Amino acid sequence: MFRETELRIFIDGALRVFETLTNQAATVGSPYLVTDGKPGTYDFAGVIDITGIRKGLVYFTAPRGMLTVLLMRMQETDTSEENMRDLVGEVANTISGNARRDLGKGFVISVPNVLANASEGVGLPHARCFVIPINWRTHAAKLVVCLQ
Amino acid sequence: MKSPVEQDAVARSRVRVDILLIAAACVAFVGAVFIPGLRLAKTLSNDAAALKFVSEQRRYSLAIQSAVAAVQDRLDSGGYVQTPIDQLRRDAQALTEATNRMGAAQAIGWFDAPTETTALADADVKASVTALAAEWSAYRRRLQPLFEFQGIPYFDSESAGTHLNPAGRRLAEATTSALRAAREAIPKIDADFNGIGDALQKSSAAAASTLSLVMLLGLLLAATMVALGIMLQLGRQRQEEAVLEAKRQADSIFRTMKEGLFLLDRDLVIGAAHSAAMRDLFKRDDVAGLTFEDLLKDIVPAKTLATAMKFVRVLWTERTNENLVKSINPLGEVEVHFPGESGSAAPQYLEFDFHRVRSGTDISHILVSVSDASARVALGHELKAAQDQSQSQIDTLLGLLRVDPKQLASFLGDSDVALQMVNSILREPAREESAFRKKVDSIFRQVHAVKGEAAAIGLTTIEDRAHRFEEDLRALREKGDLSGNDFLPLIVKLDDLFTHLQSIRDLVAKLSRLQQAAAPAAERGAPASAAAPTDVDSMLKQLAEKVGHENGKAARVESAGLEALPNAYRRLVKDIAVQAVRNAVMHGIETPQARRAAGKDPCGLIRIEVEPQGADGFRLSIEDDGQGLSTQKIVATAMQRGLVSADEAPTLGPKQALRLLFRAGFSTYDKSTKDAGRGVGMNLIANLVQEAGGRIGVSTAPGKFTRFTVNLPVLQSAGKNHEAA
Repeated sequence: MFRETELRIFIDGALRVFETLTNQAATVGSPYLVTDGKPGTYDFAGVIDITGIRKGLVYFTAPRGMLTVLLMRMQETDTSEENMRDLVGEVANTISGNARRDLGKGFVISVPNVLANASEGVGLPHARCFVIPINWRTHAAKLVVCLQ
Repeated sequence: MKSPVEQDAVARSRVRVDILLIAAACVAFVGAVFIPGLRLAKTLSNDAAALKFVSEQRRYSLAIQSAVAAVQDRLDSGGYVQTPIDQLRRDAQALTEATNRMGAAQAIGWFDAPTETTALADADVKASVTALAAEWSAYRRRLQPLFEFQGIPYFDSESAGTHLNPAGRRLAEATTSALRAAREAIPKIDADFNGIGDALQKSSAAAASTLSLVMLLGLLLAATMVALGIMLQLGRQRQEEAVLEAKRQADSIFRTMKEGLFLLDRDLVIGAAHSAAMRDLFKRDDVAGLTFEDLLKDIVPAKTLATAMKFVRVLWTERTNENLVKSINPLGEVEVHFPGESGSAAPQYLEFDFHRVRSGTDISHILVSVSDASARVALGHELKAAQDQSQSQIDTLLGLLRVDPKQLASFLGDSDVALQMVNSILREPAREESAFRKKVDSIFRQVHAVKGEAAAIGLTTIEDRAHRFEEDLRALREKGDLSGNDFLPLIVKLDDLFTHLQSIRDLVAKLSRLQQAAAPAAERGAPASAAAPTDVDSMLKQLAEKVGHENGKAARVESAGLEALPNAYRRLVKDIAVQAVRNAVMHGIETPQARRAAGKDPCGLIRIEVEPQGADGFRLSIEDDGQGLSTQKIVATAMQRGLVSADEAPTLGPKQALRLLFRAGFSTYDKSTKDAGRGVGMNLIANLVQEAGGRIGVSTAPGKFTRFTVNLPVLQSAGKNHEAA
């Protein structure tokens, strides 16, 4: 099924970053739908625009606490906002690269755009989206897939 | 514009003409210049040698005349005569030999060595030579007495002194005669020598003149050959430029075209020339020299590869019709998967086309063109999906037209609540496996209820979707080590169900508007279902009829008291009744034949009654007049399902055995279908009742009836969970 495969490609991209950067695997939480167009965001979000066969966006969002621990786990002592942005960008970039490789030419995938203080939310193309919680240690981030 | 092949043919033809012209010029040069030149040079050389010879010989005539005169002088002076006579003999001998050689001169062949007299064989010279020989021969006879003289011509005495003796007198006379003859003969001999010299000079002059012409002709021929050479060179240059241009054009085509293009030889090896698109299409650079099998083996299934190889070999067989063979091309549209690319969401399709390439009448190669058909196939899928969706909408629409509006409205509302409930369950955070497993069970109840109600009112598109959802849930139940990853198919199907429900709502809205527009004004606003039975009652009747029809049975529902149910219990009772009616038809009611044989009405009866129990709430009873329950069969099934052990089974009494029906995972139906076999039906009822704070019981008489009795508490103590959903 195309849609499930698409989801897995995005999820694999996100999980790979955790595995690579921290040598500690993240797990997928219970996925769900949002039907009100408000999947919610944490402090930072890396947004990828998608056009072509499907249109919409995918974003990875994580709270400051998780990013701090991630940076520390990566032996990075500088836990500035700049570094957190870079880290979220790195995750989004890997998701984007994974998608570019596996989804084929029909998908046009943008360079990620990182939003700090993303709590006001990301503009979504339609109300119903897939939300996939990403659990790493005691922290939770999420991947939001909103494609037509 | 001519094709490169045509250009090449024209150029080759031109070169052939040029080569022929050069060969003709060479032959002409040899025939008209070289051979005559050699002959003339030889003539000149022979003439010069002959002239030299002749000029050397002509001195002998004067020498002979001088010798004769010297003999006379000596005779007159009484001198010694033998010396001039000897000289005369030598000179005469030399002239005789010379005239003999000159007379014997003969023409020679190309390869014979010339002599100094060869030129004298010429007819013009020959006459003078013959005349010379005759003159000399005549004069020589006059000299004969002088040649023959031997001794002393004098008589010497002291008294008379020295005077000629008789021999001397004869010598003197001969000498005088010879001198007289010489005055006539010598000029003739000289004239003959002159004639020979003139003829030779004339021959030389003619040869020299001809040689000049021949040289001029040679020059012209050489110039022609040089011109032809230049033309040939220019032709070659043009040909090379044309070939280069053709190659540049072919390279441009190969570089630019989006299709893969290559040739296969008889061993099915790919040729060195191929289009650049091959690299992108096959994601490799080493296509040239690769076998067709190696090109495909990692990207298509083994079966497809085997068929494709057979197909390409058949193309090489002359007796098979190319168009006929191409019609069975197994690579006409083939899905390919490249190693290292995990589960692409957009599968790639390649389209291969094959053409025989002939050299003369024989097949020399197979031309293969490959194009990326992914976009076209994707478009085709989208089109088909759109068509399916349109068809699905039409089916849904037709289905909706058969559904009672009240039932439909009730179903849509309940289903939406159920699906929202499913999503709420999913949304609950979970990390541990137990949490995920609990979700599976909770979601199952909701989806099962949606499926049951959809089946009851005949909404097969929803029923099918819910059934597939159930199948996923069942797989998850049997899977160990659950995680969020396993739930991805569920949210995709949930999304699909939401979408489908919404499309039904949209259709209903449109239908409603149409109905309002079409209905007479007087009828507008009148409640459509005012005279209709309760939605639950009619739905259950439809369900019994439908499930019976699908299973070769006949069943009808009679209900009583449903209208007395408070709204808060409406959905709960509906869910219980749907499951119970389905179970009754599937497991309780016999086939019409069996019922007739048992003396029963062929159409089974299911009675549903709701009785208010005052302070005790409500009692719902669902009874069928089927074959009843076999406790032995129930226990045997429970053992098979692992619900009871072999030791425990014999100890179970009838009531305990019947209670097994309500255990999770129990189903007496062998085959899993949409209507039965999930082993969840009774368990679901039991759970619903339990959640509502009620009790459920079952009683049965083999061959007569099965009755489920549900006691529900008064609403104040009823569980809120179900209604909240």
